[in-house]
Amino acid sequence: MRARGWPRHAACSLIAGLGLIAASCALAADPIKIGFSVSLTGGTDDYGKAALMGFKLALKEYNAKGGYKGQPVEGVIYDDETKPAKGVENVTRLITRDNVLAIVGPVNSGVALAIIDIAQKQQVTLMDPIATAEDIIKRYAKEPKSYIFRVSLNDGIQTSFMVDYIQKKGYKRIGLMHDSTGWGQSGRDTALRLLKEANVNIAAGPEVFDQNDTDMTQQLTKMKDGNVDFIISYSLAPAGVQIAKSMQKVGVKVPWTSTWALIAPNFLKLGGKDLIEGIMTVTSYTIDHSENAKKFHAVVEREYAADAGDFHPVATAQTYDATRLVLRALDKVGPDPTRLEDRAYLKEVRRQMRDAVEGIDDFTQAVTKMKPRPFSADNHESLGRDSGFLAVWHNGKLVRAE
Amino acid sequence: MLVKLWQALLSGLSVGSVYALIAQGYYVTFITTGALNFGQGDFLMIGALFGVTCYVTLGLPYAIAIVGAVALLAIRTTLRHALSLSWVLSTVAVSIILKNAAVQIWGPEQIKFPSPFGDKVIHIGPAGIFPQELFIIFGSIGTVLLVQFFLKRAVLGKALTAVAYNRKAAAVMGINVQRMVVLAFVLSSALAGLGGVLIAPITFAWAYMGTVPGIKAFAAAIIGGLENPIGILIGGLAVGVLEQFFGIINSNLKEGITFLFVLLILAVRPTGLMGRKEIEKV
Repeated sequence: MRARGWPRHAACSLIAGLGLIAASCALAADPIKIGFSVSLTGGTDDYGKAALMGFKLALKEYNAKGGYKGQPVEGVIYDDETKPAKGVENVTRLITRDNVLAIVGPVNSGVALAIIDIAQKQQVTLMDPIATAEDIIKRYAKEPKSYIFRVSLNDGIQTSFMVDYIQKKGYKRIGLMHDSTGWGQSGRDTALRLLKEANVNIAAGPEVFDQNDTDMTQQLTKMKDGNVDFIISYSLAPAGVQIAKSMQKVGVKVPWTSTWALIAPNFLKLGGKDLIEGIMTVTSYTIDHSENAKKFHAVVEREYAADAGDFHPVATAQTYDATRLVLRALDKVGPDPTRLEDRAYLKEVRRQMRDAVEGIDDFTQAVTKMKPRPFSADNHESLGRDSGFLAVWHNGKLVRAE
Repeated sequence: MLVKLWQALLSGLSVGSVYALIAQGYYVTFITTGALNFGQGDFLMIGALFGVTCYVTLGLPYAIAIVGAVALLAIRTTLRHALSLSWVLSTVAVSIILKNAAVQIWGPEQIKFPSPFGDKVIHIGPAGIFPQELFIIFGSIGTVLLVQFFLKRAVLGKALTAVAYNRKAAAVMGINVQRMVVLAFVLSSALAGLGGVLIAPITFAWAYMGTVPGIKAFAAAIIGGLENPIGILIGGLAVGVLEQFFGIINSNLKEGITFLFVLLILAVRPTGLMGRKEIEKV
């Protein structure tokens, strides 16, 4: 066996060797790459798929205008399956094997909190277009140079819209619920803090549930016992529908809101317009809030007509802006594509990318509500208190909550 | 407090009866082959999604969707077994394949499965329950009893029981053991398929819907005693109700309590609540 196996082994090595040479030849002609890792399957895939639309659109437009020095920029797209471990794997791969200059993603906060450490340590810009946990930006905000940026409304800002609304309407007894994911828990902490600061009484909760629970009667019975007049519940679309259903069982009839999780198109599909009538959510973007937004939405509708209008406009818009900010930084840095194989040079370019993103001050074509200078040395959140509001489901459509 | 307990009992029974139904599948294959059909939860998922295709996409009546899902899984299992038995060992791998296949065909998202009985809450005393949930409770318990009747009274069922009791003796008596093993798997898959169509209107139908119920049902089977079908029925209902009861005290306790209970049972009564005590002969 061994005598016969050896030449075959040698032949294999030879072929493998040739393959390597071929691969390294291909590497020399590699285009500039931007990484993209989001949830295309799993709990938050609604956002991921919508984000992918925005990412692809931004790249397509950029490349149609000539790309980078005549070369198209390539997007390397991975699915993190809404699992932190998979997200870590993707980002490591993007940085060490795909040699991307910057990364756009992820959409899930649990995943984001797991991967920002790698991006920061490896000094690669991570532009998060969706995830909302405050800690994503906060964790490295004190570092001299944080590599983490965001184009999304963080939980704190989203929750502050809720608290504003509660104060405006004069609600006195608030119920608090959240799912058991990292996102739900961080949301709970934020709500507890902001409600306390606003001197609003928490009458019931915090109550926890699993994101796939089908019966929320126990949690809601406690809301009922607490005599709440408004409920904040950090729940994704499927759990949101189950809450609405269980409310009918226990006979709880008070207005309630989640974060923007309930903008997801699947919320309407799973619940039906009668069940979700009156349920509230936070939004940062409507398809008609500005000229840029109107134009952009027309493009989205044209490009993705085949998806039968199954859009998540907010996620698409934010990712579109996030990706364009990264491409903008690329133009500013102006690296030499033929030298990117050199690790030291690649690292230097990545560092410059970060500084360039932070320094962008002429971004007037944003489709979300963001300033021409979205970031600064001490602020990596591009969307703030004046970028969003509470909306309510009415007759199967989202309208501004009065 | 009474109101809370009553609501928890109703909710618990509806969740628990699903566990009981799936757990019966573990029982049927365990007694005949000594193996556990770990794909049980995912057969449930396939049943539910196939039900969606029949009921929602094709607009067939709910009853037909149920029969269709049960038949699909029964036929599928038969075909697999006609070819070989080694499949039994790879049920975990099969479950992964099933999930991925389901994502390819139906997509990864939850799909709404409207209940044929409507969405109007029925109030029994101070607590509410959906008509579909009542249907699940009675459907599952009825099915479990029907399976028992089949195993104890029908000739085919008796043959299956005989194989479970003593394989060699059954073979000597002219029973085709191989065929009975296949029957056991067909039966267990069909039960899972039925479970899928029953619970989909409550849980939504999606590729990952079977994982947690599959595990909980396994816990129910352990608690009730893997070799005692009535014990499994009670185990399933107990797990459902227990989760809800502990939810009253603290919603954080809900998830862990089942498995804590399993550990407790394993420590005190390793053969399950209603399992036969092993008698050690010296």
